[in-house]
Amino acid sequence: MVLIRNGVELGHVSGELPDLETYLAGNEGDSVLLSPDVDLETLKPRLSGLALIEVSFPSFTDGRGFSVAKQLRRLGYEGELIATGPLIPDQYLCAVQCGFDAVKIEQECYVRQSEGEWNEALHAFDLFYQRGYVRQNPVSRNITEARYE
Amino acid sequence: MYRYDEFDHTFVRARSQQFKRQVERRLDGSLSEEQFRPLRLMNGLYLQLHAYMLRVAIPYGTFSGKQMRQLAMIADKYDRGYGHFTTRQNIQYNWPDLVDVPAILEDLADVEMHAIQTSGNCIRNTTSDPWAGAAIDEIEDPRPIAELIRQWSSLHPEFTYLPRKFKIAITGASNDRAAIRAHDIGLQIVQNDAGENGLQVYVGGGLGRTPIIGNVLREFISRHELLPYLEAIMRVYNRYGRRDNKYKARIKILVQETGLEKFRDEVEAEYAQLEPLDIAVPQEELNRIADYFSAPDYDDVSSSDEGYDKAVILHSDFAGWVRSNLSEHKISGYTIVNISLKPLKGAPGDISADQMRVVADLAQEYSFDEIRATHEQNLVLANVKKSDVYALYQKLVVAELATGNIGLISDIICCPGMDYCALATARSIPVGQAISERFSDPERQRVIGEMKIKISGCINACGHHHIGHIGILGLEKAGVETYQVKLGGDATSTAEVGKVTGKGFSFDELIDAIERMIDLYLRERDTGERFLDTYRRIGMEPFKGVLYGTD
Ligand code: SF4
Repeated sequence: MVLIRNGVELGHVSGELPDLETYLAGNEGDSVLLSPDVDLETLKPRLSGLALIEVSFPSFTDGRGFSVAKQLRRLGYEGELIATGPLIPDQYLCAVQCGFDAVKIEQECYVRQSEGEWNEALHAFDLFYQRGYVRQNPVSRNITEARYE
Repeated sequence: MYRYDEFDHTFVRARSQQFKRQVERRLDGSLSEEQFRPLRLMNGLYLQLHAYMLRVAIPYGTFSGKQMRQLAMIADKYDRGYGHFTTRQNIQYNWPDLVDVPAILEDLADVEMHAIQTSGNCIRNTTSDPWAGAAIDEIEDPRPIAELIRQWSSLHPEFTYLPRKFKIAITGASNDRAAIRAHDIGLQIVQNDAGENGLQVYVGGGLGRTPIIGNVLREFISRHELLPYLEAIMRVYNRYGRRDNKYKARIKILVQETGLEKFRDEVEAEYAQLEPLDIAVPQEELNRIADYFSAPDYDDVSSSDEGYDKAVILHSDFAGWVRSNLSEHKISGYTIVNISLKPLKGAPGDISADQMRVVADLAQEYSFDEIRATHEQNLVLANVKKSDVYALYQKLVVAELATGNIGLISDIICCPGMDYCALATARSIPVGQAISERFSDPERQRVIGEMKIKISGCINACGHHHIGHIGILGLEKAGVETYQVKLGGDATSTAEVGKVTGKGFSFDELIDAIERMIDLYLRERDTGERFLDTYRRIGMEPFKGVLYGTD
């Protein structure tokens, strides 16, 4: 798998995170892999002990993970949040805006699209209509707020 | 009407630039067709039977003469000189080349238009009452809220890869002309006990294979809370809507399978965890948008106009057109002019580039430069002085736009069917044409009165056949087209899904069958009854009798 953060390819990463069941069964560990149908209530009590969460995307058209990220951030999770699956550059911004720090994609997806495309995608827009999805890096603005600055 | 400010302009340009790059990346192979497909759909680009089809958004159906002229230019330059108005107040072009699409989007952006989210599994164009701002039964013009939703839903980071398409409609009038209960979310502007206007929220309506009339999810939500509340609904849908079966992925199925009560609890639970103030826009923004829709500068004119009254008496063709195509305006001395795009032999909703320019000119001259597209595939000039109507009518006649059949039997809603659509199982446009032909006598149409015939070319129901007074569904049985007939559908505040009469008809039998039903209705009707009323009173059996000879 290839990790992309801030529009930069950070090389290969291997190894799988424990799934929710395994994580909850043990008392150790600070990382977990969530499926998009996760019931976040079960994770809530253990959230503060986590430093790394991956949310899996079964296909790039399955947008559940975006809402999971949004809900995790609302629950106060501040650690690393990674979207894992066959995402395409055109979704990178959505992921970042919903609270992901990085995406992790299959090698075969990555070869079609270069690092440049991921980086370009991150800068495709810097203005958004929705409030509550503004990102820090690179900086974006909410249009409503910009209108009254 | 709404005008873009610098931010709206920048946003739409950035979107068109992004799409241009997506096309380039498709052509150089960095995007596979599978990856490109949802991206192009989200920008209104379909692959049809013969070519690509581009669907351009007309937010809540309101646009200007200048925009109409640009649509005409695009029809001439990139297409075959015509466009097609859809049942969702959009316009589509049936023959553009893929490589031209980025240029078309630039041309659209020049006049504050786009194709954003006219297709795909995202929030689509919010539709509304075509008589907004002019209707006599209106509590409040719904378009400021529709515009608010347009902005909020444009490229939503979280809700752009939904289980399925998502349609919102809003009305501000007591008579529902936006079919809100046939939408994923329907919004009705209502007044609460404190005299405040807010929204009643319906959820889970929809047509398609499983037609369902939406139910009330919330009796009242203030306009300040609307966006946070919509966000809560969308999040529940995005997380829990079915993704295993395309035909069960709409929110109506989620609501049905979860149960309305439990679904409501889930939405309220999500809503309770939101910070509405972080999501809602401030009052000054609501005001800013609403200001664009303030009433035009109406002249103070008398309610009866001599020239108009005289023309009605002198010209029977004009009088007939007046009776069907004008609607009452809230300001006396003004009227709402409905322009039919359903001429005899035409394809419902089609309009030539030359006709577009005529409508643009008429809007500019007589109706504060504003046009409306209706979900019934017609056009409206909503603010016309009665004293101007005869002059306007004569120009419509010259442009072959003076068909006097609004709301009548030949004012048919019809999907493209086999003529264009890759999914079609039967022809639909020719069916509409054959019905119009059979009932072509304008006097006979008027005697029959209000009648909504809706035709779909397959079970996907784009022609809204479930909610037609008479609904027609074209199917294929062993290589032959058969047409199933439904009766009693209704898209208004008394919404209902029509019921199937029984076995289907061949193309040739169908027209006779419809005529027999109309004749029955004319024999049976009480004074003042529409076809729908008579059907509701006497029930299905007598109609079955004339259809299948069982009586
Ligand atoms: S109803 Fe069927 S045939 Fe008609 S436009 Fe929709 S998908 Fe095509």
